[in-house]
Amino acid sequence: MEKDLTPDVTEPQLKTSLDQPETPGRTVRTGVIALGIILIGIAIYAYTSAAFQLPEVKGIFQSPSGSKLGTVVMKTIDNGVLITVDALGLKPGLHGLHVHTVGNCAKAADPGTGEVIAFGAAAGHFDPFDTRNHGSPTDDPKLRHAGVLPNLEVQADGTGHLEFVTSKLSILGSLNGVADRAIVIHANTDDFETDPSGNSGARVACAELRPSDTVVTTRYKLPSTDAFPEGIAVDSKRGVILSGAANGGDIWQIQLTSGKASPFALGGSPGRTVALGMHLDNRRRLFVAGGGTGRVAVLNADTGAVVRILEAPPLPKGPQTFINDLTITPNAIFVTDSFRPVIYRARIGVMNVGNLEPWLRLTGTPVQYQDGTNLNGIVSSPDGRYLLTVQSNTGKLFRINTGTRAINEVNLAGKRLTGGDGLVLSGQTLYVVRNAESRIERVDLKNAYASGRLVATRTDGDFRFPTTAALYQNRLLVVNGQLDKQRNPPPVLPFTIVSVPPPSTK
Amino acid sequence: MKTWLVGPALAVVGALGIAFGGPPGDGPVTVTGTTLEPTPLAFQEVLLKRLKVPSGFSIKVWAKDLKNARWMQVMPNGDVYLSRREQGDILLLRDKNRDGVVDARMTVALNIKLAHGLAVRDGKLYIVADHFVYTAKIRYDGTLDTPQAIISDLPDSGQHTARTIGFGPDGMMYISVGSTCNNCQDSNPENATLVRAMPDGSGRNVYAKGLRHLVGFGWHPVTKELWGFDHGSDWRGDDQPPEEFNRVILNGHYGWPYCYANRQVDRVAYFDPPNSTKAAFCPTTIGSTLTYTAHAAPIGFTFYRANPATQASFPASFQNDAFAGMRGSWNRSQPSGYEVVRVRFNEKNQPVAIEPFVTGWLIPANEVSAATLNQASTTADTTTASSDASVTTSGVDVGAKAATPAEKEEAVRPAQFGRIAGVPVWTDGSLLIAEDQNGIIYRVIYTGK
Repeated sequence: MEKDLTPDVTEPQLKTSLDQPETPGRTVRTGVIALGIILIGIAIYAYTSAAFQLPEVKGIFQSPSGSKLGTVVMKTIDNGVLITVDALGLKPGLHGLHVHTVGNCAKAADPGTGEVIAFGAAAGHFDPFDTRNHGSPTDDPKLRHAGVLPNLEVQADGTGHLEFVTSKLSILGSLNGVADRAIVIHANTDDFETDPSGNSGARVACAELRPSDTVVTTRYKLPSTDAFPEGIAVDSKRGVILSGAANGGDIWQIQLTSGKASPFALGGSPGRTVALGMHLDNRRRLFVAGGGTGRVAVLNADTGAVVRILEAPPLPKGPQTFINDLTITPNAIFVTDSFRPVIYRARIGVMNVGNLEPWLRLTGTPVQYQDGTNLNGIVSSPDGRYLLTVQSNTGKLFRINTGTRAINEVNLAGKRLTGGDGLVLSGQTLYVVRNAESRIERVDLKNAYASGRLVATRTDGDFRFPTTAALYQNRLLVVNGQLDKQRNPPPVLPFTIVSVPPPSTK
Repeated sequence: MKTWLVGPALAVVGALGIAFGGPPGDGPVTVTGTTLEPTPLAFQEVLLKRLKVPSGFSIKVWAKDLKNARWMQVMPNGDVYLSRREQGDILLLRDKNRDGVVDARMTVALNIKLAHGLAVRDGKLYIVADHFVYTAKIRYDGTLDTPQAIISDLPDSGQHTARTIGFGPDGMMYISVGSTCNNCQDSNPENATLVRAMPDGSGRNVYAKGLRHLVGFGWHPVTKELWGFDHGSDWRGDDQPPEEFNRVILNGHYGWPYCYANRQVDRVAYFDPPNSTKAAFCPTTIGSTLTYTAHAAPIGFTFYRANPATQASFPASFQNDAFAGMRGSWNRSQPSGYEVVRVRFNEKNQPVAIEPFVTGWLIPANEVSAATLNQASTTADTTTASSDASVTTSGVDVGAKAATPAEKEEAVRPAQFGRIAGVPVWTDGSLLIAEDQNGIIYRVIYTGK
């Protein structure tokens, strides 16, 4: 479930929305492009918000023991970012104030010394130009930590207020964006010189900088700095979310209630170096699409042990393979390949799993393969009679009859689902996660899935190139894959899975 | 002895890093590294007297002239399969008359490049060799059917060809796949791991990672916990990093190439984990339970478990302790290893100490004379003991002969006559010790005297 296109300024719907005559839109467009801000974020705001809102993040300062120590808001303004800090409960005097790289205020090892400290997970000062040099907020950020802010002056009553405008940062910029990062107040005054932290001492307060326009209630954090999570399966028996790494194939388990994450099965062996679409069957088998490995791994959902590696038979010379997603029917799994025009099938029984076989060649069918990512997410009707699969590059949705192998393009009244990645089918409702577009569409289907209408959409300031989702207790758990950042690292850490209400017509 | 200053090179790397805004690291780090390979001596019977065993034990030669004797698999009837990595074959050794000396040997598998680790299950001998795992059905007479490859795609072995294999209490097959290099970010993610698979070779997956070269491993007889020795990186000075004794758990990361020992940052490694730092990453890894002298090079590993009724069984205190064969250093100014160590486990079955058990294969420089070297510094091909051989109290001295300058230089180095590999327990409770330079297998028995 991967899209091969990086967000592009010329994508039609982005262009249309940005060309809306509203003044704020124009301002943002020029300002944003000048600042090099990534377009995904803009799309969210420009395309969806009736009351247009400029990118903004906010956070709540917490002490190491968890008590609230004030707030921070960072807003996009004409000439950069306006940072407003209102702190309380601090010692009077000047306190170093910095944006840190990782939006995680958990206790962890100091990235410089390895000593476990409060807010260590926030890592070091935000330093997008890799200068490794502390400095003054007025210096060129290419020569110093871009995250350095002026000292916060705390009054005798323990409160401190700071307003600061900087053109050196942005909210959603691909390089200097502060969204999903953290801001930390230090114990002492920053001398704006000493490496690595201006001699400003311990971290006394930390706030995670979260987008304002989000309905996310729970953010699950993955303990990896380079995973690029792609797929998801919810194991309600064990109460965990399973998600796997497009980069490396590690699979994590995350406790649904506590959010505690740990490795479930390490990647690395043949057929287990990539983990994309993953689904759990009712016999405790986890099927994992292996992307460019051309394989599907079958894991024991209780132990994580590999039960089998299914290999696609070698096809005649042609495009590389990219096993992207799969769906489980009562007696088979069906597998999409985004580069090779074929759908694979492996028969499954109570005890056995068959080999991958090229089940349906797509050449000469309504599914016309082109450059880029073709068939991607796939789901099936509960009886296994129909498959639904989305072609990312054309935005077309197809219905395939598993009995007759007949393929029909689902009539969407002219709408396209470009960037369509993971699919979730619930009754006659299909949720389509669109990765580069950072949105989830709700498609109401009828006539045995032959036609559908886009009736609702969900965007969120907390979507980061979402790749797929799972429906659990009337919420969508959305995987923020950041696959755009896989091509243009670094990713914004931590990697997250976020819980949102499904798009609704109400 | 050659002492190389690695520091300047590292300092240059650091400076370039800044210039390109590129590789992270911890700034210039200077280390002193030493190459010191003790002079290899051919085995002579007189040298046996140099070997020290604890009181009540004795050590004898069980088999010799075996060349690159590495790993041994002991069968219930006393047969021993021996892998010879350099010869690429498997020998069957048998002491038919039970007099404590092997009296029958035959080649039972050959043309297996880099054959090393051995295990037995369901009547089949498992052999791990470079990219392959073979199984060979054991015939009634101990010979083998033609080995069948059940795995053929293990990662390249690079510098670390000592692959090992074992069957866990879960019935699964465990294979140690070392790193290809001294200290690098291996391009194949299956290097520097312990992998687990079904006994038929299918369903392979990474069990634990960050293990540079875990050669000897095994399951504690009581707790069933998996323990093993991992080799630390070279070129970090005489004492860093130590050899690690690890409890290996599912999905654990043991730090390499970023960290060592008790989650210490490897400051000589010039790279960081992706999008992170070594300092932040190392505390998330699993540290070693015990450490041992750097560069000692642990190879063989076995838990001691013997029927107390057997003839040569060790005292009860040895039950459930472990032995490891330390092949010996080349990267330390004072050589380490060249010995067999005992890992003591306490009453809670947790390891508490690593102590020498058999020592003496290493001969300090001041006990080595040029004449010794003249006679004995040779390959294992000439193991015939000279009739001139004599051992003096001050050292080894063989005849009197004028030394050449090269011999004089060698004389300032320590010498050694044994590089220890596999250390299994034999059926009578004695301990076998394979030595891969001169091709000797020693046997340690307990007599109580």
